[in-house]
Formats: sequence, structure tokens, C-alpha cells
Amino acid sequence: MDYVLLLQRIFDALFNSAIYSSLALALVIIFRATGLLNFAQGEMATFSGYIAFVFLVGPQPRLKGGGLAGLIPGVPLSVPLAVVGAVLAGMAVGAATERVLIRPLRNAPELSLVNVSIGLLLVINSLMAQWWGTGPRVFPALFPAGAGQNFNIFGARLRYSTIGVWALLFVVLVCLIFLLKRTRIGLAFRAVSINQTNSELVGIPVGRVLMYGWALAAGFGALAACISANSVLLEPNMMLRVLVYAFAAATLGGLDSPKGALVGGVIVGLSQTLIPAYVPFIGFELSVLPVLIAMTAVLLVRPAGLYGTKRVERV
Amino acid sequence: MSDDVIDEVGLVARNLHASYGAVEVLRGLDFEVAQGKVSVILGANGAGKTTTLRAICNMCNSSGDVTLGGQDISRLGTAEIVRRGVAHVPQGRGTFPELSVNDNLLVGAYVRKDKEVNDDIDRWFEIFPRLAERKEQLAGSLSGGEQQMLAVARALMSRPKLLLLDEPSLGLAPLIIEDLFTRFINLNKETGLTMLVVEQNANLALDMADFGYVIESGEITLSGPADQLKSDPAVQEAYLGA
Amino acid sequence: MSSPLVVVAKGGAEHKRWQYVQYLYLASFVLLVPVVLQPFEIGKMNRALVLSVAILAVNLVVGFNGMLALGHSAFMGVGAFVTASLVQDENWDFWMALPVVVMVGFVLGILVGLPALRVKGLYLALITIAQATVFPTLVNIDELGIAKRTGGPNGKGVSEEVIAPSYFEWLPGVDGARGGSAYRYWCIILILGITLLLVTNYIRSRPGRAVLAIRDNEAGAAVYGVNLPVVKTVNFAISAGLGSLAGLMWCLDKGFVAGQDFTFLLAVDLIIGLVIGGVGTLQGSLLGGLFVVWVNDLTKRITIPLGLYTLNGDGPLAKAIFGLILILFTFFAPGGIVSLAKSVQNKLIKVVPIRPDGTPAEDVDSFDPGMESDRAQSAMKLAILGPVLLTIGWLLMNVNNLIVGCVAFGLRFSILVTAPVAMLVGSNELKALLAGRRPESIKAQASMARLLGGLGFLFVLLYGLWLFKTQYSSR
Repeated sequence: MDYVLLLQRIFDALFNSAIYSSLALALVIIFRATGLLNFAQGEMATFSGYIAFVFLVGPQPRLKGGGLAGLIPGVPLSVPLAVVGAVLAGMAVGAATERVLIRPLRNAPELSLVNVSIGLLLVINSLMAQWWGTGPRVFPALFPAGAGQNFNIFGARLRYSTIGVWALLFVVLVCLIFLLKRTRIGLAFRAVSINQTNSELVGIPVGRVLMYGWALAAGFGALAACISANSVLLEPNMMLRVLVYAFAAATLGGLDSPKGALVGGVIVGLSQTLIPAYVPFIGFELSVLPVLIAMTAVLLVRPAGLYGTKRVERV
Repeated sequence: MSDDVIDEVGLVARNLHASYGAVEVLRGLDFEVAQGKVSVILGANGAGKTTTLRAICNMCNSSGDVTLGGQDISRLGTAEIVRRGVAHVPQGRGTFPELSVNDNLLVGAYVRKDKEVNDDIDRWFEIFPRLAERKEQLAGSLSGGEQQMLAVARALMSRPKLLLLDEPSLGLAPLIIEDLFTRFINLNKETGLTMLVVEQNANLALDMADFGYVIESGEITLSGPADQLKSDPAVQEAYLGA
Repeated sequence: MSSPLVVVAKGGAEHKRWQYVQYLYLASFVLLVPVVLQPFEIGKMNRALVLSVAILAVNLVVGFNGMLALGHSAFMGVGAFVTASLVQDENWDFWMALPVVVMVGFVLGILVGLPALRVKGLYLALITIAQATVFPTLVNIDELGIAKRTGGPNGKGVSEEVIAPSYFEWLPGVDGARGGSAYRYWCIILILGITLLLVTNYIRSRPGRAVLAIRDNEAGAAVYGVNLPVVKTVNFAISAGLGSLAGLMWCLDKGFVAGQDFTFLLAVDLIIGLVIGGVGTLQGSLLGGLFVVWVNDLTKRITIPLGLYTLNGDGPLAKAIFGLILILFTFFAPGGIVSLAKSVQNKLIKVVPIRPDGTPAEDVDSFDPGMESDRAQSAMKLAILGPVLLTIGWLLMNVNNLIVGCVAFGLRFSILVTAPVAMLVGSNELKALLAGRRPESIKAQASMARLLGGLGFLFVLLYGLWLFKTQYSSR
């Protein structure tokens, strides 16, 4: 066995893992707060990606299949500023979604929420195609990712961008943990995730806290989009497949556990790269298969996922 | 004189109606809790006791006038009512099972912005030493009685003007209930906290209360000072097992 | 029109007549489709009905059992590919393949459902999403001869065309130019009809009641001795078998299957159809299929010039409209078209149940001669409205402009609502005339309403006959 190649594959996989982890985190945050699988999470993220794109390169000629984009002015900004701008814009979209579409359905059945998120998926996806066109856009890398920009570890190349992405993710995560465990609003968010009625009884404005939760989730989604837009090219359907992987990652780790989302993302990223490489009849086209089988298997053995809390139900 | 009157005014509810769908549960209740006093609402299952408390906090489809200390609170949202000084210990206790005991108390103080929150927590730990021992434990792992204590402490962390208790005796052993009610009485005597208690356990509740109401099918059928109610033959027959 | 126009007793003569009117409508709709529509339109109708069966399958799980399943596109795909392979490679007949296809779907349903349904909550949704995502790529695997059977990325055609045997040529529309699609239409109608019958009986049966009980209160059902995993899994497997059957119908209709046809987007279409039709109702599944296909068809024709830019329905816009409709329905009509139709019907005709002693639970207020003037007025309005709307819709139909076209469509659609009332009024009038009953105090408006109602009835009748005749003779 070629261990250098194995190491190289692991390093490469870790980049994708960061994408899955951050989108899975977004899903987990919303699932904890609202009990909803947000199907539109990927599209909301892609939208933020386009916002970053506009911030970065300014107006672009229309591409195949649509394109009002040529009509709006773009503002060329530096990369960090554009990402921050995109994250903020994404958070605003997330907050607005909660306020307008989710809050009125607070007492509605689960299916209604799923419907709204599917409807939102369709609307955002098609509006993006209408506005920016269906063709892929070249998106600059957040961290140096060119040839030779890497560390050499036992002969395998660990790219600066992989390290940069994980460093970024860790910084954001530390901030998130601090926010949740050490601040008033974090405590309120944890309380709302457990029981909305009781939260209201201690005077927490539940609606507003949920709105912050959605904004936070959308922020993670935006980050995922900005990380991935360079490697998979920015286009309206960019996140559809990533979303399935993120679902798998979140399920693997336990739908209500942020830590699980992180670990799940890494597992999904690794198995997506390694299994097709070493199992002969699974081609790269089928790389989604082992991930999904692993997800099913984990559900069978540990329905709550690796780190999720088991729910006890009162009859 | 006017100051005196406002001081005396605790909670006043007038013509309180509530319904779930087409079913009318409360049909025009009038009751009040004087400042610093304890009122109790007695009634059988399904009489509308819990709904009454929910209606005060605007947690159900209700109409009517509710004033607290002379201020109209009937059109405010639940969170805002809590901020105005109503603490509600619901049936099922309203604690957060997946938060630690300490966090539960912190959440209870969510509406406060002063610096004395931690002092208050220490005070409750003194009063309920069992909770202090389990400070870092998850609330869900406490026993029923401990959870009820935590629920009360959690509610009082907001330094309320009015405490609403929904069947605090439910599911607890008789000895623990007595202990709990003694604590309630002491609380009222020491801090002058206004309380509205909903109970089926009429004996204990009337011992503790200054004033009592009996509701049946969403209407008040009897009311009067607690001693008087206790000797009322109808109450004795229906609730005191005489 | 706050109070209903007519109050009838359940099972009474008036109620029966109202039901006959509905059946008449349904029957004429089913009969007119292959006669009136162009072959490509019949093809769309076929696709709609196939989707209806698939939506019915989803409904069994989502609507009747309260579990979220989003992967029926994969079951459809399996059904379609098994059919194509059996018919093309093994020279089977479609009807011979049918039981096999359903069984394959059933077994697959058990395999997927058994792990997914053991745990509560959204896990079935997750696993079925995975299944829907992976299916289109699964078809392309070279191993185990899968790609050879499925045709891989190129898809698989069924070269033998479905043609009506000579002894079926009496079926409306079957001989002549539209023969092929019309015959396939009748095959699909037959399968759909039998499926509906079976599903109706299944829901009313003992296991069916257990399924409903789980939806309404899972813990409660368990306490009453319902074996949750078994009932859920079997129900899911039945649903998967139905989905597979829809796949067979897809193959029967299109004669060509490809992996790209059975993506997650198809699963999303099924959910949209389910919600917009009406979750948990059989009629809703039917309407949902029609809605998905025909509204998609309608949105494709949209072109809205916006100065510098033209919104074109042929592009991504159609999806946005679907999404928007889905959100709007969730907010304003969570019961779907079925509940909307019911609320309209309740405004017109209220059906009152009968007490055990045989008397109606409310005062029956039937539409007999001698009615008061305000109801007469309402009846008159409705009776006028139907034919008038139909005429305007007819006049506008051939104007080549999208907005006018939409209005025309809406108007022609509204006849569906008003005409039954016109027919009811008209039939009452007819009955009164035949019985020789003459109301004693005839108010002018009442007699006017009856006259117009009768006319409306005749109009609808003649219109249907005329449509039938012209379409037949023009062929």
C-alpha cells in the first residue's frame, strides 16, 4: 500500500470535510432550535456565495440561461471583506426567512415546515439561475491554493488552503461555543432549543432568539459556500449535492449535536474520497453511496447518531 | 390615599374568557389577588384551573381584562408579561431538563439585567441545599420534589411581583407536599410575595391561602376568605372529603 | 352567501342526486379526455395520471401514516427499469410484468423501511432522501450487469409499441390518429381505477385503521396493541409497491426510461403534488398529479417582458412559481385543493348526517319550488354565471396572448364549479315540472332562477354533447 498516496488523499479529503462540516453545523443549529430539516440551507448558502462573488469581482456579463446581474453594480472588495459581507448578507436572509416564513408556522405540523423549506429551495435556486445565469462562475480562492503553496509532510502535500479553512472553522467554532456557553443570548438559545413554551415563561423572546438562530445557521452556510465556491465553481446547483453530504454528516454525528456535525463532516469527507479509491467497483461517480450506507448503518445501531442526545418521550 | 390603593391592587381579572377551538373553557371569570396575599383557585379536573393561569399569561386564546398593579397586561405577549413581574410555574414544572441546575436558575433570571443574579442564586441554594449539591447536574436527573423546588426557585429568580403556581402538589409524596407548602407560606410571610395557586388538594391550599375561589366548568361558583370556604358545607363535601 | 344554498340530508334523495351530478362530471371528464384532447395532450394527461398513482403512494406514508418519505422517485425508477428490462429483454407483456414489478417494489420497501421505521422522527426522511439522490447514479454501475440492463446513461427504450388489440377499438378515441396515446390512457385509467379501489378498501380495513391510528397518536396506538414497526413497514412497503407500479405505468406511457428521469426533483414534484392536492385524501392525490403536470405546462408558456429583460417561463422560472405556490398553499390552504373545494361546496350544499332515529341532525332545506327570494337570487346568479363564464372563456380562448389565455382558462375552469349547481337547480325544476307541482306563491325571481337553472342545465348538457360530436366527426 502506498502510504504517501493514502496520506495525500486524506489531506485532500479534509478540504471537503470542512465544507460538509460547516453546512452540517448550519443544519444542526436549525434542527436544534426549530426541529426542522432545512432543505433550503444549501440554496441559502449558494446565494451568499453569489453575494460574495458580486462583492469580489463587480458586475459580470450575463451567462447562459438568464442574467439580470449585468444590470446591478458590483463593488470590488478584498477577499476577507467580501466573505464577511457575504456572511452578513446570508445572516440577514436567514433572519428574514425565520421572521417571514417560519414564525407564522410555529404551531403547524412538521410537514408544513418541510414544505416551506422545499418551496424556498425551489424559489432561491431558480431566482439565482434567473439572476446570475446557470453557467459556472470562477470564484477566487480564500487561501493560497496554487501549485507549490503547501507543506510537505512525509512526501504528501498539505495545501495552505486546507489548513486555512480549518483554522477559520475552528476560530468560528470557538466563538460559537463561547456564545452558547458564556453569554445571555447563548443561554436563551439553549433554553429555546429545549422547550419553547417554558422559555417564554421565563421571559425569553422566543421568536427573536429563533431568528438569531436562523441567522447564525445561515452564516455557517455562507461560510461553507465561500469555502467551496472556488473548488466546485459557483453555480446555482452548487450546493444541492453538498447538502446531501451535509445531511449525512449531521445524521452521522447526531442531528442535534454541533460536535457531531464536525466529526460527521470529517467522516463523510474521508469516506467520500477514500472508499472509491480503495474499493474497486465504486467509482467516483458513486462516491455518495458508501456515505449514505454508512449513515443508514449508524442510524440502525445508534439512532441518535454518534453524539446526539436520545429523546425521551412522555406518553 | 391613592398610593395606598395602588399598593393594595395585585392581580385583577375581569370577565376572563378562554377557548380551545370551538370549546369555551372559561366563561367570564372575575377574581383578584390582593397585594402580598395568597389566593387559591380550587376545582376538579377540567374545570379550567390551568387554563385560568394560561389566560393570565396570554398563552391561550383568551379575552377579558387582566391588570397587574393597575396596569393592563391582557394584550401583552407572554414574554412581556413575565417581564412585567409575573412568574408562572406551569404543570410539568417548566424546568429545562437538558440544562444544569445552575443554568436553569440563570435562565430564570433572563429578564433581569442587574448584577445581583449570582447573589440570588446563592440565596436559593441556601434555602434549598439539595439543589446546591446538584448544582452542575442536569435538571432532568433530579427527583420530582427537587424539580419542583428548582421550578419555584427558577420562577423566583425573576424577582416577580406575582407568582402563579399550577398544582404544585401534583405527583409528589404527601410528606414532600407538606414541606413544599410550608416553604410557600414562609415565602409569602417573609417576602410578601403575591401568589395565585391552583390546586386540587383543597386542605393544604386553603391553609395557606387568604382568599379562595371554586370554579366549575369555567365559572366561579363560590368565593370567600379561606377560613370561610373551609367551613362551607359545599366545599367540604366536594373537596375536603368531609 | 354565508348560509349554504341547499341543506340536504345524508343519503337522502337530494344528496344522492348531488352525488350523481359529481359522478356524471367525473365520468364525462374521463370519457372526454381521449376524445377531445390532441395526442400530445393525452400524453400529458397520461403523465399526470401516472404521477397521481405515485403521489397516492407517497400519500399512504406521508398523509395516512404521518411519516415523512421523500424518496419515491427511486421506487418509480426501479419499477420503470424492471418493466423495461422484462418487456424489452425478456419479451414479457406489460400485464405479465405488473405483479412482478409490484412485488419488487414491495420487497425493496421492506428493505428500506425496516431500518428507517424502527426509529421515530425524521430519519425516514433522511434515508429516503439518500435513496432518491443515489438512485440516478446507481443505474449507471457497470457491475452485476446493471448498466447493461438499464442502458446506463443512455437510458433504455421499449421498442414494442403499446397498441390496442382490435377488440378494444370501441373505446373512445382509440381508433384513428390518437389511437396509441388514447389506448395507453385507457390502460392507465384501468390501473388507476383498480388501485384507487384497493387503496380505499385498504384504508378502511383493520390494518388501514392501525396505520391511521399511528398517524394520529403513535404512543396511543402502541398502547392499544398496534405493532408499530410491522404496521409501519408493511404500509411503507405497500406504498413502495405502488410507487413501483407508477414506474411501470411511466414506462408503459413513455416507452423509454432513463436514470435522469428519477432524480430527487421528481420526488420533490411528488411532494408538491401531494401538498397542493391535499394531504391525506385520495382525491388530493389525483388532483395533485394533474396540478403538477398541467401547471408546469402552463408556466412554460409565460413570457413577461420587463423592459430590458424578459422573464421566460421556459427557463428556471417554472421552478420558482412551483416553489411559490407550494409556500402559498402551506400558508393559506394547508388542506390543499381538496379542502378549498370542500369549503366551496359547503357554501353551496351542506350535507347533514342522519341521527340514529332516522331524522336529519339539522333542518333540511332542499332546493324545491317555493324558495325564498334571497336564495333564489343566489341560485339565479350562479345559474347565470356558469354559462356566461363559459361563453366568455370560449370567446377568449383563441386570442393569442398569455394573460388573456390565463383568464380564459380560469373562466373555463370556473364552469366546473358553477355548472353542477346549475344542473342541480335545473334537475329540480325538471322534476317539479314533470310532477306537475306548481308552487302556490311564485315570486318573479324564483321562477326566473328556475328558468335559468334549467337553461344552464340544458346548456351544459348540450355543450358536452356538442363537444363530443364535433371532436368525433372532425377526426
